[in-house]
Amino acid sequence: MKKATKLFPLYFIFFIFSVSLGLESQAQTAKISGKVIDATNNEPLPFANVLVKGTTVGTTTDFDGGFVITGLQPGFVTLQATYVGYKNAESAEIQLSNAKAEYVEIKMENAGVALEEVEVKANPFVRTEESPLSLQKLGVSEIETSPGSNRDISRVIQSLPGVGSGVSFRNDIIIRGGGPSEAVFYLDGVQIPTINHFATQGSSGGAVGILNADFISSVDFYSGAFPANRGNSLSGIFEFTQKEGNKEKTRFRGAVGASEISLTLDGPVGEKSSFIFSVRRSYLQFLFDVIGLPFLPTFNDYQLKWKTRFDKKNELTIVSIGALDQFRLNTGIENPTEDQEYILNFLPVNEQWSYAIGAVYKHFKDNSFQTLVVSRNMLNNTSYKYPENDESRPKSLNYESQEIENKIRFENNIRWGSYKFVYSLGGQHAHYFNATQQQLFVGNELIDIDYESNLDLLSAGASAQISKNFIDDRLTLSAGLRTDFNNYSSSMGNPLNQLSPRFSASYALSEKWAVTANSGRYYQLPAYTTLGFRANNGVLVNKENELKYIAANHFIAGLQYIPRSDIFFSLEGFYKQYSDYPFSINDSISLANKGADFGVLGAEEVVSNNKGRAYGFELLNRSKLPSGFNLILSYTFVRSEFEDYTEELIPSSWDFRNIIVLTATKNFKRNWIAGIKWRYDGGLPYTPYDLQKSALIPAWDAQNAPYFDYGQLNQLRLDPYHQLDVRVDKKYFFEKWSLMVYVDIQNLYNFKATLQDNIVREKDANGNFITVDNNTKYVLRGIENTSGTVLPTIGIMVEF
Amino acid sequence: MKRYSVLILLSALFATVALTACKQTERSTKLPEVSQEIFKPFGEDGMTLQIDFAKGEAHNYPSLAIWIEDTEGEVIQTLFITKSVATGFYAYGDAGNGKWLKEPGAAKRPASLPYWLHRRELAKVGNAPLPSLQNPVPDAYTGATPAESFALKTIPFEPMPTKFKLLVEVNQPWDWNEYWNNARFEGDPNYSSSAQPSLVYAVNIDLSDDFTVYHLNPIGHGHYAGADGKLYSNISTLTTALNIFDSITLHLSE
Repeated sequence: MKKATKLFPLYFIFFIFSVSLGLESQAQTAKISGKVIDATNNEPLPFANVLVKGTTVGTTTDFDGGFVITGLQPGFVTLQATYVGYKNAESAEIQLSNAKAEYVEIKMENAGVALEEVEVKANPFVRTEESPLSLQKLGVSEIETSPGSNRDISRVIQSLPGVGSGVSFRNDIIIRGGGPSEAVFYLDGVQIPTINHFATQGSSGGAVGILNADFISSVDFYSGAFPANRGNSLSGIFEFTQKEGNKEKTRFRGAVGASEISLTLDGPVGEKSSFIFSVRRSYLQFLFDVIGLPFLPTFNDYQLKWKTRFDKKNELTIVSIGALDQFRLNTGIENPTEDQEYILNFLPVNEQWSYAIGAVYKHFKDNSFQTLVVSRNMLNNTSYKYPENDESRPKSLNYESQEIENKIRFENNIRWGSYKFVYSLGGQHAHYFNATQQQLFVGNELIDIDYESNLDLLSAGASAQISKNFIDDRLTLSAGLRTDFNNYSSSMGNPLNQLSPRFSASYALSEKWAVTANSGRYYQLPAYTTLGFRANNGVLVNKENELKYIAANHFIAGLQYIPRSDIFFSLEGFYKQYSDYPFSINDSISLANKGADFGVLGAEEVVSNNKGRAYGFELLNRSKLPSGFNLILSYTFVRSEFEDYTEELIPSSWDFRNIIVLTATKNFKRNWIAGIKWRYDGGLPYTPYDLQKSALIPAWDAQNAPYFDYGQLNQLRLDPYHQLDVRVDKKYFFEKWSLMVYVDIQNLYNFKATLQDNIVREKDANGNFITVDNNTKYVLRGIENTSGTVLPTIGIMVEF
Repeated sequence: MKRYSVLILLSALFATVALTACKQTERSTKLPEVSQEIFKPFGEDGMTLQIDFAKGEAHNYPSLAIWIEDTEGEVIQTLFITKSVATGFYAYGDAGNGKWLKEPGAAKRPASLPYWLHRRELAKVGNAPLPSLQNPVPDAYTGATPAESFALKTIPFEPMPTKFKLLVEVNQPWDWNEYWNNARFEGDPNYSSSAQPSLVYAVNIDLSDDFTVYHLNPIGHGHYAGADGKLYSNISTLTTALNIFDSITLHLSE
């Protein structure tokens, strides 16, 4: 019976595919319409040529820049546009079906040449003047069919070059040896504080992505060479571009995945507006309960995009996302195993809700466009723990925190011939609240943390960047300057202390070869948890400690080879130099080593005196061949080192050394897609436990988990981790509706990653914890801790 | 299947209408409001023909030819021809390779109004099949097709015979549909500049009747690439092309 139960998923997969083989598409009549416009002034471009990439099927735009292409095969397509005097351009990748017409805008950049054909080869790996290297783009096919990602954007971006993933059950984003708190996220130009459910406050990671894959059209990922109008990041910037609602009719998409059900609705509103809205709810709690996991999370989220084009010169986009993360401990497990008991004993209940809403207004002039972004986001994070999960006892942890940000940003993008000039001004009001009651065992004593903190912070920033092409466009130079400041302290209030210059250059050695380089100094505000941390007497101790913006200097140089417009190779060397990183007073370690665990990062006393560096190189091949073969193969060698308490550089917790990611998908006939992803992460350093301290009864009881021996910070190293994921998609495009089914198997060969042992307290025959040394210590024992199992998933999506 | 049945029925209906076009009768329908009137008297006196074009929802810069034929199918006179077709000189010139200049220039578009072009050729009007700046269409009013509903008011050169035929051919690029899709004749530049083929409207007029108002109906379409001058009567594959104009109405007056 048990065997039959285990085999059920396989039976089900077989059933789904067997049934679906009997269904086949009735017609191949996909249609796409759209508009070709000038990227700077939004003017339509009449009589531009639009071609379906990889075919000779195409059309010409009408007098209003509009076009329609019909009779297409459903599936993923990219459109190419050519127009005299403009650089060739490609659309975002679009998924076509018979049931609905898609709409796409293709923005073309004026080449500054009036009447000549400009042969600038468009390719899907195109980069910008400001960021000629360290910029990667993911299209919709790479998102939708990414093996092992289960349509979770946060997981998809972990397949990008230079991104380390930490442990497999979390979505931390660790870029080129930086800490997981060093990335920022933009959704259609609106900054959002987190992209994950059950997010680690003050960091980037979490359990599951919030962003719904149905919305995402493309992802731009900067691992360096940040444009000046983007601040507050040391390691990475993610720009998510969302699809627009359908222009012709309201349509519906429902998806049932391994962990959640989602409903998406999109369509037109009048002639000028469209919307796309989705809600999702997970049913992980049922699955987790069935397989006996000690925690039962439930996540809910919504996502909205509204776009109104008042006329060709004015448009408004409103985006919003929100998440509600509920959580309870599975205390009903009968006879829990040691692992289950360990987790139940230390894991606090963590519940969150968050939202972000923003309006982006764009106004286009003849040679420029202006963008005004107004947004608000809020995170409410609570966490509590009852000793032994006994709710009749006082809580050993009671944490409540809120982060609210109200932002405004103005940007002006101007083109003067071959010059591009972008400047921005921004302001922000942030409110941070924290009420914490907790016992910590620091040094050799138990201390009570009991503080409440309210912090209001006013910040401002400004940037300017100028770019120009020289020598027949072979040489491109870009220089930018940015500063950010706030009223937290006099040091942070001086804009000259946070001057952030950046410079990029690219030179085309030939049609196929180019060299690129970038250097920049970047600043990031420490987490609100750190800024707002108060001692029990209410003093903002980190303000007293003259907390500073964290700084990083980047030096990057690259070589790229593009033998064809659909094949791209690059080699990039990078060196990042960190300074003023917060250094934990309690633990005597850099906060750069923390942040990839559930809970809160940075709510402690720190000083801004830590230094570090990350360096290495990255080898990348991306191919998007007309045959439907899509490849991302990257090898990253990275060393990440931060100073320990003796100011000696030692490997940080993100010193992966070697990261290999191979993602390959192939489109086959009859709308089959198969793909694999193989990932290899070098073993990460870890810190052994201080078992002497951990065994002390008050120490253990304070956190129900062992303490690290930070005197031996990162002196041990885990074994490398690798995993193979496979995925098969089958799509059915009927006249009125579409059915998409996929099977995704994570960790096909069942690799077990060995993690640091869990520590449990020994019990006697009666189930009581054994104590020694006059009842001052528990007896501790390590139990093996592995992660990784074969995880098959079936996803079903219906669209009509 | 249901959809195709409707299309077949519609085709049959249109074919019937085409065959009986000569029996059109006056209808006292509300006349379209026109925002522009073009008055072009070729003759000094005679019957005035006013042709009202009511813009349809698919109207998107169409090319247009209006002409009259006798009952034998001989062209009597072209009354109106879109200037770009009449001169072979378009707002966006041909840059070669299927691409377009950003400035006006010459271009050959045999698929724009092929039925009229071949009727004209048969009538030996002009010296070449395709008009050009050097060989423009003579004796017709030429101008841009109005962007809104309009009326052409004209007095032909010659007095009209008792029975004659008024024809209109209209075409616009960009109007791809499921049948006339971009991949149908992949790589054919003439087809690419036409999308759905030209649509021909006609009505037979018998001045011995006392009718003063005639409605034109579609009778067929031209060749998709302008390769011949045949009239293809199956217009069931046309969709938005049928909505370039909501109605075309002829008013006769002395």
